Amino acid sequence: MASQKRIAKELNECMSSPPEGMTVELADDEDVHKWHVTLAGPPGSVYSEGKFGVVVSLPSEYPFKPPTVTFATRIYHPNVTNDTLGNICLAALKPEAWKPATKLRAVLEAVRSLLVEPQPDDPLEGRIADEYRNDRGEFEKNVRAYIQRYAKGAAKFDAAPPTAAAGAPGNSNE
Amino acid sequence: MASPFSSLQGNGHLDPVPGREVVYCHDCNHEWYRAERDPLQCTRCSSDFTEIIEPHSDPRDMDDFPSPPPDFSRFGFGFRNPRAASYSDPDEGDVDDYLQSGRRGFFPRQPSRFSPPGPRESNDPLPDHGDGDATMRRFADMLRNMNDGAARGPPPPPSFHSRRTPDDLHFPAFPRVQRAAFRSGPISVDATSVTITTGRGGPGSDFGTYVFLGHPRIPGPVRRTNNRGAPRLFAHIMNPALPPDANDRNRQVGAGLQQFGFLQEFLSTLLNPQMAVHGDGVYTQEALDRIITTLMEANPQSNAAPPASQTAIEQLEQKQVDDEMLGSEGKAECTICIEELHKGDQVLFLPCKHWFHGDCVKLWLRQHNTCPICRAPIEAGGDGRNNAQQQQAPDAATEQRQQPRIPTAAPNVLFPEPLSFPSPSSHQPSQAGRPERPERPDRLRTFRENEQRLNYIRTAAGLPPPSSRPRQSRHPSLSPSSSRTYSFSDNPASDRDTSPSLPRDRDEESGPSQLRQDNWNLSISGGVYGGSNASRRRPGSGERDNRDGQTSHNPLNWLRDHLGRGPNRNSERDRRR
Repeated sequence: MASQKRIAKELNECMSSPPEGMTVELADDEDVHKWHVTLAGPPGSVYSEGKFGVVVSLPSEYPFKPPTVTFATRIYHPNVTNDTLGNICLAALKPEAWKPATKLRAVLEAVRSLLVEPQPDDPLEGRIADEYRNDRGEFEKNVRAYIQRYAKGAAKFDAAPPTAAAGAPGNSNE
Repeated sequence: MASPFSSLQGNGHLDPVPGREVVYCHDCNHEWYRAERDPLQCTRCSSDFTEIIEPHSDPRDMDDFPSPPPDFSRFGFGFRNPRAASYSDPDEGDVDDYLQSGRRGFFPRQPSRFSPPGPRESNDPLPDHGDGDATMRRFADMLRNMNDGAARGPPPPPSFHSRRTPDDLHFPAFPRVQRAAFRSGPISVDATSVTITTGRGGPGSDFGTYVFLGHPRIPGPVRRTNNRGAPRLFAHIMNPALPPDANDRNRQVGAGLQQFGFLQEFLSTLLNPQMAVHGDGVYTQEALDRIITTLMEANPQSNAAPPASQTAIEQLEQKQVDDEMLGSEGKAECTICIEELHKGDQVLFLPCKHWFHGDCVKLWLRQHNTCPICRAPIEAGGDGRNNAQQQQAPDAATEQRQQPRIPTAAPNVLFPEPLSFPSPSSHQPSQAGRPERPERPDRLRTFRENEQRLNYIRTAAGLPPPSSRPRQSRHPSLSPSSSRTYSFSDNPASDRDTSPSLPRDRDEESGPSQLRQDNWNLSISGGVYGGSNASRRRPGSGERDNRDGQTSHNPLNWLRDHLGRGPNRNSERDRRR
């Protein structure tokens, strides 16, 4: 199947020469449809201290259907849902915008660039977007608190949230 | 113990102050400030039927009614304390607000809890019966309570006590709360309540026929005393809910819930505001949203470009890769399969000059009519997003001239007869007397986009594109709902604005400069209705399926249909013109 072949090629490329600040591996060696990407916070960005797990799921129709990319590590970001799902708002992955010529490498780079430059005008978390726009200090403080809490050490992909009772830092002002 | 009455309200009640909780005794109506870690036992009568007063849940009767108004108890369960309104969130499943048990009967009261001596697990919050499904949850609670109360019997009053902790606020569903309710309330009252729901039978014929022979703490048998009068439906539902094993209370509740799950399904169509769907019409924003969401989820690509037509795919240029195409680097790849392409390979050229493996790009084109690289449309003349509409361009000129005939003034609503609903072949130039509404270009764009989206939804839902269906296919289903929901408002202008008019969306393509009425709003929702309608069309809604042409522009037709003159007649008349 062309799909498998393309995925294998892309995977090979991403593993041998990964996009900057990333390592790519398969969640399960048998299944090329699920990638685990460790994304180091881009230097110079407020996320630079963190290591984020990003899960890439490729539909069987890939590349005719867009992949889904989510943060397995919680991250305080206007364009990532502030929950254990970690959904990302990436225009290129929207069904109406997806095109098969888009490669996963580009997708991953787009995710990374979101960390460099959040897009508060197209937010998934409106409150965080407002904070990003209006109170950058508080925003960065929250980002760092999240990193301290979730994004230290090796990135985890099991998506097992820390115990619910603990709550998330920065949630107090929600 | 805190010094009492230090902060009396004007009406003689204690007012909670920060850091100091006021506790109220339900037994002797005493209230006092609670000291830290003080047991919640009444300082006067030692009852533990007490409650910490919170601003949003104040059990005290500030009007000093000795007891709830007598009317309250007449209604049995399901009555809601008006005072709870500000506090209650139906989504919380906080049955306390709606049902409260008392020792003398079943009357509403502010939240308080009693902890039965039974096993703790019975106190688990109710399973959620569906988001926002508050009505049904309440009803299910009511039913479960019957089941529950039957098995368990009412616990003795002294077991009441109130205990509200922050935890309680997070888990506010107390399935056990109504346990005592049914013994004391007159059974026939309960029955009446259910009878209203079914609209059948008289008092005592429905739920009231289930007599719960409860004894405190001793699981009692449930006996149905009146089988004859019970409507079959409820008999069926309730029968399995009768406790086969009355000792196993928890199991029973679970089983009961399952039974009621079925019941829920049935009744939710009647009671649930989210399901405010009648035939093809919806009445609430929630219901509409739900339909849209369902459609969007079922067709995640519905926003995307529509599939290319087979003809368009076949017309694409085939080429062999030559040196020129390989460019200076001498190699190229198919961006879909990212395989390298070699000289002499057969490739398919798109109008945008991008080229791919034929097989690869066809897979894509069968889903979307755009270039996989630049997303330029492969079919000429379009912007890649309105494929379906382009195919209807020939109709547009015809249809748009009918626009002015849509009633634009209130008298026409009352006397639709003079209106003409010409068939496509016999339309006349716009009847000059009819006022036309000025174009509103600023809204045009949005409307058009919306219409296109709706077309994609239709396409993705497997519906034939509008061109292959009678042009009015959306309207028949639209008409009933639109007329009921929107059109017969007091404001004729809004009638005008909301009367559905399908043909417009095709006008956009061929005659963007033509005048048209600006009744976008309903057309937008109308398309959704139509789409959903097609996917869940019911038998028996045939009178709405009047697809024969121009008969259903607007609510008038629906009215007419319902006045006994069917769509066929309309169209016949139209043809005669």
